[in-house]
Amino acid sequence: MGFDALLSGLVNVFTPQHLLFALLGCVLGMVVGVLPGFGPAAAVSLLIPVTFGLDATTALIMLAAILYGAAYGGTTTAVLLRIPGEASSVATTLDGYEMAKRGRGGPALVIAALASFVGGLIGVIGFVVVAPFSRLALEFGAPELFLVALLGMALITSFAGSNLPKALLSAGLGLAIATIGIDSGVGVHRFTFDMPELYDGIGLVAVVMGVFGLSEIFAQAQKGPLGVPKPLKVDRLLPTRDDLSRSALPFLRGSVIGFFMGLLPGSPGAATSLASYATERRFSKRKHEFGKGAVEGVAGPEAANNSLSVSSMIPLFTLGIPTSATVAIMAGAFTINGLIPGPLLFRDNPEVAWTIIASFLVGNLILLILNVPLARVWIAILRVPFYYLMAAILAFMFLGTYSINGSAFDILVMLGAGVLGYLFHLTKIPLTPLVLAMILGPMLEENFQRSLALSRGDYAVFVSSPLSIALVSVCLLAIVFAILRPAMTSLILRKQTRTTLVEPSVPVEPKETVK
Amino acid sequence: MTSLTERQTPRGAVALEWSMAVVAVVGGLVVAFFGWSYGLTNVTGVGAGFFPLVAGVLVTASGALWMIQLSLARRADAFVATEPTFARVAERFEADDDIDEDAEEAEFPDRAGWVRVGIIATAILLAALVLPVIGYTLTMTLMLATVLFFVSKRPWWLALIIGVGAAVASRLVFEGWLGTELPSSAIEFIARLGL
Repeated sequence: MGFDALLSGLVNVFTPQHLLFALLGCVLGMVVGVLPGFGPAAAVSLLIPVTFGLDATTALIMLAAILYGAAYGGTTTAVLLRIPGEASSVATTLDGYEMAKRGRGGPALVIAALASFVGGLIGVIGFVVVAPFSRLALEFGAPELFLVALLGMALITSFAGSNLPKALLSAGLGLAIATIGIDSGVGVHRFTFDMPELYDGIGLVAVVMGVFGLSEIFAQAQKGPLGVPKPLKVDRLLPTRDDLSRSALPFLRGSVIGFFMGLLPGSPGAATSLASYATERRFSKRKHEFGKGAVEGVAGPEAANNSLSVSSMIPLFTLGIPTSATVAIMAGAFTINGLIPGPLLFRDNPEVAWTIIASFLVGNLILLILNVPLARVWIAILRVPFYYLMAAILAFMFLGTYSINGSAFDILVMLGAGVLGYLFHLTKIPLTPLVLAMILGPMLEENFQRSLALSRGDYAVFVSSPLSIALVSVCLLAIVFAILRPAMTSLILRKQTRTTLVEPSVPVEPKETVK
Repeated sequence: MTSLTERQTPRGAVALEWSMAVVAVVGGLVVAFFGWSYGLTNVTGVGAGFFPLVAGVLVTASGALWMIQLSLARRADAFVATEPTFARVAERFEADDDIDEDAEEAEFPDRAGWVRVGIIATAILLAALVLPVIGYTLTMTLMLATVLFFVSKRPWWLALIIGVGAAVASRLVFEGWLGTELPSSAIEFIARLGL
């Protein structure tokens, strides 16, 4: 396992079929990613049905390409419209849009694409270094696997949003949905109400399409018929030599920051890109240019974003634990294609695992080659009135959901999930814990049951090894942090505000939020 | 901690939050009850009802905590009204800190917004119900035409043309490329037309 495996993965990706579907994935991802409100999570969930007719490796290569394409679509709108496609593109709007306003939209997009490629490259190198440790996870018994899943849930719930009860509600509901169907232990029918459609439980794809896709349609439709946005012009594409030399170090720094942040639960995209932005500003000799079109303000955050999106896959590949909504949807895609994400993937299907990892790199390369020259085409999509796009997306979702099992019941599930996602959106309940709980719920339950069966009902089995004790301790710390976090945040912010308020000559204005 | 955006939302938003918190408490109790009825233990240790019970308790507890937050926020509103400068600015800073994957600034819909959302949801619901009866092509055409006419305010003929176009195109893609078998109408007359 290592660079040799990555190389053989690259060889596998460079087949006409894989390259074609990676290309198609990038294009479809870009098309969906430039739509307002549709980030990578929505794009991947919407487009999962497109991959149903493909073999597992090709399907996952295509989905990875969709993910990166959608992320880059978000960057394009961040630069040319000041609309971040996802929260992690917020930092890019600060200087990318300013560059575009000065007629340098093209160089901003090229620098963003280069940064994404470097970020992806460093992310993949880090992946190769970390992947061998997945063998350790093979030694885990049922209690450790239960605790790892519990830790994932606890950390995600702690870091999701700023409101603990809402995050808990989301996690609890996800867990409840995950229990629907026939119990794997003793075969009891749970919440099935004698409906055969519910015997196998609620399908993940229908739910994620509803909560991420349909809820976004509702959110856009509530605003009424929208005007067509007017993106700034791209003009000249290539960056200057000065742009490239100024971006070199931010590429590296951003990639390293993104890589390590991606390993954290929640894969905090917005925080990562903003941290990278702050770092670049600190190191720059041209601090005054930040916020007015500094190329470093695009290079660092974009590299960080992409490095994060690769490294956030590491916990999934090594432990089988998704750490964000997007990765959770990818985990679902693995399962749909008959693959179990986690250490067993490297043991049982190493070729598939390394081909998918190598495709992260190839997807970014395709984006670099393809999307910069076609930036004007993607922007043209934004000129299509949203009601036509909405109709197309609705048709696609309806059909995509139906094609899962050839059943109208899945459409009803998607509708229910869409209404739920929309209500969550209005009341600011985070969706990530719900999706993660749906995926981790069965793993939690199965390993919990197995642990207690092995220990004959003795709960001490969960603190019987140093690793278990460490995992339990981190779980408890996460819970304590989640409880204290709002109070700590409030305290810090009040102190900051008080300090600002005593400055009589400086008018106090709230921070600008970018919508 | 309830953020300012939640406190500054219109009356309907507060009502929605209260309603959802109440539904969470009641729904959680129902889930917990069902879980308990499935059995919490068995010969191997854990019964089929253990996890549903945990999920139900979690939902109920979080709903109850949410209700407490809403009550506290209502009390705090009175205070904020009398102490406008410091409290509001501090709270707004706090609200703006909440940037993450899920935390997009939500705009609460007006009556027309609710109607538009309701039309889309109803159109999908009806389409799912009539799909086995009138077949895919007619269902999709009617669903899209309804949404385009009532929500997007397109002329009826344009809505119909787009509906037909999207239905036919999507049928070609899914049947031709993905091999998905789409339902034909159960009504013989329509089925004979190939719809």
